[in-house]
Amino acid sequence: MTDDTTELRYPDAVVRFGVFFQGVNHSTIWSDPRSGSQLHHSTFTQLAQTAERGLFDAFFLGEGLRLREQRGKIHDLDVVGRPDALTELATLAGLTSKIGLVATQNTTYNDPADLARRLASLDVLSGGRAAWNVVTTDNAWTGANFRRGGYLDHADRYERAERFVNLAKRVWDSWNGDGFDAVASDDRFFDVEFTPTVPRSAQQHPVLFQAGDSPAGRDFATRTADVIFSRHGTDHADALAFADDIRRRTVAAGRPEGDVLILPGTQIVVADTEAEVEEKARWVLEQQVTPATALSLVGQVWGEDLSGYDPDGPLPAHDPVIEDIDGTRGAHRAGANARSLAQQWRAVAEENKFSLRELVLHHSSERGFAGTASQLADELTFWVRSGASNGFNITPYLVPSGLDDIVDQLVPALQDRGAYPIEYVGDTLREHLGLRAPLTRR
Amino acid sequence: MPTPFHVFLEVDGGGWHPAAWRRSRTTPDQVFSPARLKEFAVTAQAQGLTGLTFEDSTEPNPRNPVGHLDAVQRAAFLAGTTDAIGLLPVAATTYSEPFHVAAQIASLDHSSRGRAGWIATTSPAAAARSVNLPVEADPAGELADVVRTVRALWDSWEDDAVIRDVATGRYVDRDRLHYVDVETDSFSVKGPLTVPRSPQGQSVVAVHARDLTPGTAADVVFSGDERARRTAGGPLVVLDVEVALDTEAHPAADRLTALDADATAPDRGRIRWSGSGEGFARYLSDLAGSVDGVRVHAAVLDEDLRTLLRTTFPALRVARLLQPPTAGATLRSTLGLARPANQFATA
Repeated sequence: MTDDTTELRYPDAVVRFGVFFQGVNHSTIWSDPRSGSQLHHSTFTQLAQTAERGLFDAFFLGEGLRLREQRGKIHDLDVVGRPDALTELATLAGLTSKIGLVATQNTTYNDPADLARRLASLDVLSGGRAAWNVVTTDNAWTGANFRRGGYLDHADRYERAERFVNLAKRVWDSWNGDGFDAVASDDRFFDVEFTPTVPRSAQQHPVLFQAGDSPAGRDFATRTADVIFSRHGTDHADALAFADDIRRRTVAAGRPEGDVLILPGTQIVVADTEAEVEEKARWVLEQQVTPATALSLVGQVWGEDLSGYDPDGPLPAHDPVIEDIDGTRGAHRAGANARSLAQQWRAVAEENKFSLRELVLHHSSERGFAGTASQLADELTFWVRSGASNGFNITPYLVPSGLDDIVDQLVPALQDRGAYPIEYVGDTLREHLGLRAPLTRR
Repeated sequence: MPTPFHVFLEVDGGGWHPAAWRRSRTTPDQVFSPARLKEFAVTAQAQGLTGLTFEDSTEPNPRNPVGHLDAVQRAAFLAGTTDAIGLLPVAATTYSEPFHVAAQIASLDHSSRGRAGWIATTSPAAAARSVNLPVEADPAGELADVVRTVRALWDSWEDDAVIRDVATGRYVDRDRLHYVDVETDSFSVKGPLTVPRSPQGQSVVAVHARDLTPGTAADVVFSGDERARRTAGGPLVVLDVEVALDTEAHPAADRLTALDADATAPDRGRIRWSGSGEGFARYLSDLAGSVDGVRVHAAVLDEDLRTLLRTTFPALRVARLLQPPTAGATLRSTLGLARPANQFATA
């Protein structure tokens, strides 16, 4: 994959790692005997402490505010259920001392006064290690769990998010050295007035992560965030194009080119020899995409129950019964046109003579890196030095032991190349990431 | 066996007296330091106390010039570094999202391995302005609705809903997950919760007597009335007592005079007691026959806690009134409360 013609624009760059504990997905191989509970505190503690031993910058938790469904029934094949992110991270703040703690929190179903206060509390309790991964939702289906329901138009969600974030920043800036300044806002989203109560943390503000990928999401991130958590963590050319676009938008937003770090999500499979790498990567993929999961994923596109189909047989010959794919099983393909996606899939399957499951395995195989520690160290170093990203947010395919070989084998190989920190340089997440003061305080 | 008697310690800020922060060992900005919180928790657990409570308010705190931290976050911070003491944070109900509160307390119960309590309390009317909602006309009624909804969400997963059945590829049994479909005048919740049922099934729900209505399903009531008694089948009664104790250097009366000179303490509807540590132990022993426990609010945590540790708690231990929770025990079992059956489960 390494393209020797790409110049190394950042020859001294180091690889940064975060761990992304998604919680709900089919990337976690729950069926393996080594798989721990998704809820037990020891799972979170072990994973966070391993990441801290490996000098990871951050430990991420995902969030979902309604259990996923497929055609009105709760999806039952993947891991389901996880703790509230901020509450779990506060526990981890008491059990770790360096690693950043990133909570995914939604701007649609929270209030700025309340969420900013809880984030600031985590920031103080952790000694300046908190971060907020800002996400938005626009579906009424999730809103059914909340007082304010699903009132938000799609077009409004980034405007609301940006006003929300700016209000939160004012909360974090409200300490005037002698007390707190009142915060007030009266726009069409937030007509509020209150006095904050949480003292300033060691890093002044929680670090802001943003994960939206649409043009509006990218503009929002480059205007307001410190770090982008992107989906471009597999294909180098794709990642480089994304990173260049972000750099362009960052400059357009009046900020220095490197002011926004890019940490794409990815998966990493490490083994000792090339033969073992291939075998292990295949094993991981087949455990993630079981026959039942393959039928379920295809059924999501076709909009019907395909569990009676043969996973080793062809895709359904008829067109999907739905127009668009809904978001009730996660946001990944939500809104895509079902019929055109089905046509694409059938074309790929026919060309390669793929069965239904083979097609899903084929699509799923592009979720990250596999190699020996040495190969991976070279490749990831190339990524950051060519400017395709600043590091990676690793989703372990097994919890809690899924980072062990990365920390024990890959991290030392990167350190040997001078491409990974050998110690934490400071105590706060902002220091780990080399970020300047918060945007509002420069 | 002596009658079970439970001692809780409130650890918000510098102490109940508004001038407490001036007499704390720390500078004002360190009153909420994580190291200090951990020290209180470790000490209280070693003394055999039943629980720590974490009061909270989103109103500016007159007791300390630097405000205070979210109570659920503080309790969660201590969950992994303690193993016996109960952790009971305030989470206000009037303008909250019940779904978020249910998830936060259930998560605290998971991370503390069954030691979570929830002090459900009404919010001050001023809080409405912070969330742009109309002032709630019936906060106590709202509290009862939120408690009912949160309890339903805690039961929305049956205990054995996670089946991890490799043969069929199913992680959960969806028939053991339940929509709660709550609808009240001010909110609706579909469910199920995104957090599976927690170790206690239902975390311990505590309510201040002032917030209690007949419809509120509480496990514990904090009362400021010395005549309070438990009714048959009713919640445990825990007396709220604000104390100022004699220290080695100063009698309690002098300390209170000095504190009051700095700031006047509002009446929060709690019993106020001052005197020697031994005298306080005798006062608590007398209470033990009539109520289930006491929650101690120290005038100045840094000063009064020393007297409590040196004299009051040892005297209670001698009288066998302090019954230290066992490491690994749930808060429910420490309090003698049964683990509730799931309201949605069918036999």
